[in-house]
Amino acid sequence: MQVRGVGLGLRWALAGDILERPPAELAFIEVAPENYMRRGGLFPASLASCAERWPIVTHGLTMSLGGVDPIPPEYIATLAAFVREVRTPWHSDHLCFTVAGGTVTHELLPLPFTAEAAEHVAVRVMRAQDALGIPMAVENISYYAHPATPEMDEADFAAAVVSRAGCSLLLDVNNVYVNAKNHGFDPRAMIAKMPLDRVVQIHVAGHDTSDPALVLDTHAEAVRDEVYDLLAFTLEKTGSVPVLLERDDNFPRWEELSAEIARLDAILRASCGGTEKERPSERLRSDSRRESAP
Amino acid sequence: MSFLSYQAELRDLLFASDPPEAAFAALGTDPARWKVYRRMVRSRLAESIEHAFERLVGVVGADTFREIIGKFLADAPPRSHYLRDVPGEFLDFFEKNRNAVTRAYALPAFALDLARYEWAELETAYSFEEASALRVGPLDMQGVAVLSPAHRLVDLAYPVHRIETGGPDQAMEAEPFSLCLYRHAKTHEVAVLELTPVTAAMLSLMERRTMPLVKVVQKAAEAIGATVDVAFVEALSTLLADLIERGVLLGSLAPKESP
Repeated sequence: MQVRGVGLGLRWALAGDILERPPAELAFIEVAPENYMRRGGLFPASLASCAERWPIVTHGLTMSLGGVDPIPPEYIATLAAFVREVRTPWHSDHLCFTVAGGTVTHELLPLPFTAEAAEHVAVRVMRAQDALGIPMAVENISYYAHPATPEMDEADFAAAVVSRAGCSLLLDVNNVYVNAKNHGFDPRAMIAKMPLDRVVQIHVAGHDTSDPALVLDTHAEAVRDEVYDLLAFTLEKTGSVPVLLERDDNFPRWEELSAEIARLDAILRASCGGTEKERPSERLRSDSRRESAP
Repeated sequence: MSFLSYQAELRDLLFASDPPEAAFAALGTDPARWKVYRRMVRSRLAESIEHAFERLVGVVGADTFREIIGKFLADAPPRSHYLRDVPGEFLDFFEKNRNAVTRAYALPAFALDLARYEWAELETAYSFEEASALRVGPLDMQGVAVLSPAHRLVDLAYPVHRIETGGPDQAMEAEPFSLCLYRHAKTHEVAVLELTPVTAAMLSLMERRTMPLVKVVQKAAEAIGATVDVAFVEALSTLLADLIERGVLLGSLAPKESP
């Protein structure tokens, strides 16, 4: 099953509604493999029910692509088996580190935007791609602070990683917006500078603006109009790309979430004139995959 | 600051009990924002642990429990890539430091039993179906019995399984119990059986899969000094049928799989 259209992240609180009254526009499901690997019971049962109806894409949390600790062989082997089982077309994880000195922080911690860090991440992405046997995509994170002085901006950092690793980009439009607010740059200019020909998937979510000093990427609020606008701007440049709504907490009534999915679908359809067209990213992704082979 | 030292320093700031202000400033221009990371990491991990041990939090009190979590994060921070494992890592810390933790935070004597029990409930719910890879046939007294992997046997010194959510009982009397927690195959709900000594001994031996069921029965009877008479065999038959119906006992290993 091809991944296209608008998807939703599978969360336990949403599983019942997803299966019992899915919105017509729902086209795929995204899961965090760490929530299902080495696990029996209700969670995998819900995933199996979803997989019968929608394509599944996987989005990891703890590979720690920017970390220094080796990625545990048991983790990568279990992940490889999982991605094969759900037949995801790509696996994504974040441009961050989550593990340091053996401690797993379970948080997406910022990397310095330096050539050294980009090279380090790219090498680990290549190794992970080889181990998983499927293409990988890396996602830009929300970062609230940056260690020392950056050598480049976030777009150049992402471009350096995907170019060197031959991987795709999962572009989180909300994260760009949150970062723009917190670090004082133009989100459209940053989006335009991203390696858009490598975008294989887009994330959108809500964020918390209750603290005027710092916007927080919570995935616990409704998507804001500014983010919908930024999504439309992005899709004009990328063409039709699967769009995923992330909602992890403070869950609204299902009708509200369904309305968000419908609105995202309308934006996606409008961006490609109601038709699907081949995106450069698909062609480039397969080319670059060959280039990254040893 | 090197790439490696930055990551190590940030980790230390996230998990240390009381990191110095200067250490935040050393990371970058805005110390307040690095403190946001510390809050986010610690609250995510704490909420995960508190969710797993709701009854223990009710008994111990939320503030005291957060202090114990702080000690855990400083002394034995998480190492698993799976967030759902973190409460189990917390329990390991509690087990290894039971005397010191119990004394330092004036915990009731049954606190560790309660933590073990609550974690066993979650482990039973999470357990993955490794038995599906085995060839399991009908139950045979000469074969090796196979229990569902979605079960846990727990021995308690206090009846903590009778504590309701938010029901503290600091004066709980010691009373040993052996329990079998198991997950219903269709509803995935976790249920609890209070075991008699002979049933507890049998299930414990079955778990090891080292001997045929007939030997399990003999050894369990010997262990508690019971005579294997007609009444015993009738009770055994009823017990095995009940365990099969509940999905705790799956059957026997096919001959090729037997040790």
